[in-house]
Amino acid sequence: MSTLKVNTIQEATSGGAAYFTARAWAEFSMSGTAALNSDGGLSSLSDLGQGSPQFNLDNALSSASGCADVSCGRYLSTIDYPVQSGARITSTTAISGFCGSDNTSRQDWYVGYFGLIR
Amino acid sequence: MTTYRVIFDDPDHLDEPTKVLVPSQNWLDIAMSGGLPPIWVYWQLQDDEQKAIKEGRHKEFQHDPEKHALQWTALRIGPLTEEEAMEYLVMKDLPRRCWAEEHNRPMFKIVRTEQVPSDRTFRNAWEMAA
Repeated sequence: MSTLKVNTIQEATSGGAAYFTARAWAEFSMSGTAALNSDGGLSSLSDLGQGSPQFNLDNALSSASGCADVSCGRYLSTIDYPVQSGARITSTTAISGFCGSDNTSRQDWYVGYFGLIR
Repeated sequence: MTTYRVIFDDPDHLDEPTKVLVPSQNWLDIAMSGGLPPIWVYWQLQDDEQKAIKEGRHKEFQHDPEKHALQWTALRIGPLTEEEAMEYLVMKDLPRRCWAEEHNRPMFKIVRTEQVPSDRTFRNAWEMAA
């Protein structure tokens, strides 16, 4: 396997706009014993309490900035709801996720998704 | 697929529920194939960031580029066993006060997944057993 190393990736044909890529992603579950079903760019997930996952990056970012997102894939094992959620980059190595419901309480999702773009 | 988990308490916030660290299988595979830098590479970065937080300049903080690059350029430490990788992960991803300071009880335990409750009804009341 070979690794491509570049500083920027640009569109080739119209203007050369830069592409920004995902630094980390995960499909996770906070149902039962918390689990990382699949992931990239993470070393671990910390289950801090009900509806409170923390995503720990395998390597530190150069600064604590970027665009982090947590979304609900499946609220309960058989039920899909549109629910509230949030994420915050708390340090160069950790992103806090907030898994919600239809109010401000935190809930344990059956399946959730996490992404960090930078 | 690993069957290890780490349960831990934050000694600065003992009123909070016990936390559970779930390792990434991808990361464990890298650790067990010898792809990790020495742990001090991460500690150095953590120290610099903690200093910036204490001094109130975290918002504009940037890691020193040379120290940051060591994550990829430092000489790799060689393959770890799964148990060694879990110990490395504890020292990397748990707050340092959990494992580097002395307390009147252990602040973390490496356990098997089946030892972690799967009923989350009272998740915010979980406490580490003695």
